[in-house]
Amino acid sequence: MSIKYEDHVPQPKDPSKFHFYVSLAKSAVRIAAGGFLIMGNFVVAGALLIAAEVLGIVEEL
Amino acid sequence: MYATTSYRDASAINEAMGRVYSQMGIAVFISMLVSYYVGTSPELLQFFFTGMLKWVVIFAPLAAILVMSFASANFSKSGLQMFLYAFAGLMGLSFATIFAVYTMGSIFTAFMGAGVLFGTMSIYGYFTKKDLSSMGQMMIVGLIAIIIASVVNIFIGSTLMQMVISAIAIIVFLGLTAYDTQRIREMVSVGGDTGKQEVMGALTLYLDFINLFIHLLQLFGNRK
Repeated sequence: MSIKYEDHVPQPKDPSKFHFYVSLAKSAVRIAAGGFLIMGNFVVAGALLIAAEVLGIVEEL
Repeated sequence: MYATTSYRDASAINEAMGRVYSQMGIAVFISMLVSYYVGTSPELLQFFFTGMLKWVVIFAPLAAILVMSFASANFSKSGLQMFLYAFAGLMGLSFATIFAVYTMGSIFTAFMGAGVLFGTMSIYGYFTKKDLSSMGQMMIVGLIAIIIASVVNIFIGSTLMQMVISAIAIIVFLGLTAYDTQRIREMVSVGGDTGKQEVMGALTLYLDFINLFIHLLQLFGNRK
């Protein structure tokens, strides 16, 4: 009986789905940043833009 | 009767700006310390960035900034200061993943580069006699354009476009650094107690610096 690599190393349930959800979250965070920028709240907008970039880095993990 | 506004003299303004920069510096130091400590420990990275906790870690700074932004009137100056340092710690935790994705050398280079660029633009904003408010408005429009382009690029998936967006974002945040510095200098030049404005100013400059650093890292950083 052959032993598969997948049997030993835990595989993500669905990596493409994870990337899709992260991309969706990234877009939502960026749109929220745009909203706060238009409202003139630069502090919250700045923090949201960092969060969007952090999501981009998490996506690469 | 006319309402009169008193202004500080140059040395008092310099002292107030010194407090802004030192608070910002402490916040950056806290972020980098937390980020390095968590990011270089595989156990801590595994703990914080798996399962649901990962989303809590990423979005916790946002909750903190919303509280700080909308409830700042209810805080004392020292309370606001503590909140700034706690926020910086949470922010450092949220971007600890940079140590798992990028090489240590490129993180150090991006940090030093961000420091030099930030310093240069902040000095310019501090000393220039030119009114930077129109440039600030232009940078804000640029930032909105970047946000739209980033959202569109999620559907296109172009690496080149992402690089162009990051490059423009660096230019925009450099402009915003000069604009914010001038704005904060004007804010603290008014007489009276400006302690809370100083903390909020430090937060604004901190966010400019971190945005600059992250975009520099994404553009020039070497991935592991």
